Amino acid sequence: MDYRQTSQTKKAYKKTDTFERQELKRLVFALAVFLAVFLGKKIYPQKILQVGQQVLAVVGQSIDFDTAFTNLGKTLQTDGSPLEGLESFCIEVFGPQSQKISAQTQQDSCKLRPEITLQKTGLLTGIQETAVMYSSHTVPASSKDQTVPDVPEAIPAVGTVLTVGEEDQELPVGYTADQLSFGALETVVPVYGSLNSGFGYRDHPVNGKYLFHGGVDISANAGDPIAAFASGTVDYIGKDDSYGLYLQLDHGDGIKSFYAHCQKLCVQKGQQVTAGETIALVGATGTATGPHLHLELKCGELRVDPAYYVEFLSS
Amino acid sequence: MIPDFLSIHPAFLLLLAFLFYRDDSGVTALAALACVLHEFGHIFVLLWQRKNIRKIYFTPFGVRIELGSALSYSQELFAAAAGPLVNLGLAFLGCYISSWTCFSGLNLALGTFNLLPLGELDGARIFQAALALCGADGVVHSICRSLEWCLLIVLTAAGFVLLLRFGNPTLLLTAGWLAARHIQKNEEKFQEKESN
Repeated sequence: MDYRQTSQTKKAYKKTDTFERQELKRLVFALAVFLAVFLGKKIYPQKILQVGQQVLAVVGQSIDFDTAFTNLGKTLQTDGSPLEGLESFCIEVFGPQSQKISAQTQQDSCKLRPEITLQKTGLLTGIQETAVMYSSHTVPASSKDQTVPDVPEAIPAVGTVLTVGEEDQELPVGYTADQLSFGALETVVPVYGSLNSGFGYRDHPVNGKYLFHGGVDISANAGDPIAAFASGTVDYIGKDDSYGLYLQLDHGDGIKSFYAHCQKLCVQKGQQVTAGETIALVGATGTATGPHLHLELKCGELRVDPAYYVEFLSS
Repeated sequence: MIPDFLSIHPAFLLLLAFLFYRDDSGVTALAALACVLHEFGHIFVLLWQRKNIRKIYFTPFGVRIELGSALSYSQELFAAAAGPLVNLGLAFLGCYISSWTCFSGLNLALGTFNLLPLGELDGARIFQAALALCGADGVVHSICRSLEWCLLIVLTAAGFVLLLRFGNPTLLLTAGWLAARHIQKNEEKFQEKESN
């Protein structure tokens, strides 16, 4: 009798032990997650914000399972090999999502603007017409019948000064008023709008101080799509009190474009984009008095005046 | 309101609610139907084998059927195979019905996924029961278990690569789901041992 009691007590102890061990495991796990988020936010606030953005972007994406299953069903119905069907199904579900993202963003009113892609602005407009003729597709109608020279003129290397800018005041370090060549890069106008505020010194519209403005402000309606200046990859995305929602594209050869005050970002870090693809929507996030796009262009270490490279609507 | 033989985990309902919320095309309802038919396959064979079904658990990691008595290896083999076979049957039936294209594809995917010899999926149960029937029980069982862990680690790693490279979390979520299922099953086994 005594023996049975002891063994039952032992069993009871064992059960409590297991239960407590499990509870402890869960507690440690929850504590680790809490500490990671808490310390992360204190030490690397920007990084955590970026991760948050990425997580939201990933969660917000939805794979089109309906189409994937329908395609798989079609391979069965059309006497296709089920294995091949399953293979393409796996690629569709687990693989790259670039096509699906663009399909989804189209639904989200982030539409590609064909008129923008068509209206390519020759980078070297008026300066290197012959070079443009060979580098981009904007062949002027009148030049069609011209005899093509045997050796085409070389496109100026990236960073070559094309126009020397005139500035009354000395610019801060890292900025130039000169027009630098972007090589053979094909570009489009991100947003067609009037120039609100140009590159150079100005009275800040919010704090009233006389400060240098390192880009251009293009006025547009909130929610208007922002097209990628040129093809490239998304360098980074982020959010802060000053620029609001922002992102930077890397077009290679040290050429980068930066877009700020967006209402919504339609791309993720590391994503490949083509010129003219919608990357964000115009907004008034951060320090802004109204919806507009703040655009900056960089060539190597220097920020250049975007007015040389994009067109504005005359207000 | 809920019968005694059913146990529904709150997280199961939450997951279902989330899936229905995220779904615009109605594919979740079709998937739920395919899963129900899959489970009916299992239950039908168990009833046919005159087994006493004690309780059916709906957890976020899948449906678990608790039996009153143990299964022999051949019974286990048939009971485990019944679910995926129902799905594969529906998939091939769907070939002849034009409006069943999506349902047919869904069943093919569900059936083949469950036949993977991984974790606690039907494929693993069939594999183990078949090996046991061939007389290779003890050693093979431990090899299977370590293989499962290796596969889970490979799947998780591949899931991470796909997430970082293409931003697609599906494989990582699948691997996480399989791992959670595996851990849950191990915990249950551990508890059973403790209470015996």
